[in-house]
Amino acid sequence: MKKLLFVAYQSPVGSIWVNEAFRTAFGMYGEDLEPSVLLIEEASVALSKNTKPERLGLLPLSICHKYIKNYGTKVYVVKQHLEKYRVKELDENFGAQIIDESNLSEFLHSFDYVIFM
Amino acid sequence: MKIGIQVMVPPYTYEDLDTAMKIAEAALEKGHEVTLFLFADSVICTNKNIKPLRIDRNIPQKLIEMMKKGKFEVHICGICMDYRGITPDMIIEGSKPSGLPELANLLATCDRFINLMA
Repeated sequence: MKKLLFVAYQSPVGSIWVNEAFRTAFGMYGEDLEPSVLLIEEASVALSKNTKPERLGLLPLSICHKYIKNYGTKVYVVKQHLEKYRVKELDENFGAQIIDESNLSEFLHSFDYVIFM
Repeated sequence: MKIGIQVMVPPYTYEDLDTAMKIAEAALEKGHEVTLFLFADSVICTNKNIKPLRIDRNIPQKLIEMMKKGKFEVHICGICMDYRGITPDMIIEGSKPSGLPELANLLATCDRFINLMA
């Protein structure tokens, strides 16, 4: 089984890439693939309880929650990036695991494909 | 070797699609098989009505020529097409409206995967 990591790095309000990273990950389950999603830099803001793109009439992030639960998709975020963007309260619906920046290199190498979106 | 290349950005704003085509051409010359998967705004490049300046490259035409040579497929994310108002009658001959199941299959079966995201 190939392990895939979809990495989004752009803000969830102002770009489509956090939503697209999740959409793509969910589309992988028909094959012998194990997708995960890593949110880095500005994309970390997507995990904040207070981030609601729908307030601006944009695509909500909450549409991902059901599928994260159904598929058990692993979501990761970097501790230092949460601090940088002052994300204090994580939305538990993402079930994100926090990793340390110092472990990022080893973490990325544990996947067969790392796809930046 | 089976090679998958995914492009995600607009064709005449960024030059990732040009990079993808050059990598594909080099791989095809070596006898490899290449599938180009077009995602998000990159799907615009399959619109056969594109008319660039004479001095500029014609990306849809180039893709047609590459597909005619064989061992080169162009897959287009169907949802991304719908979002951008690109209908099947607008796309270049030989390209295939496709989707995430096809991308998953490509990722599961390819030997190398290249993702281009500006």
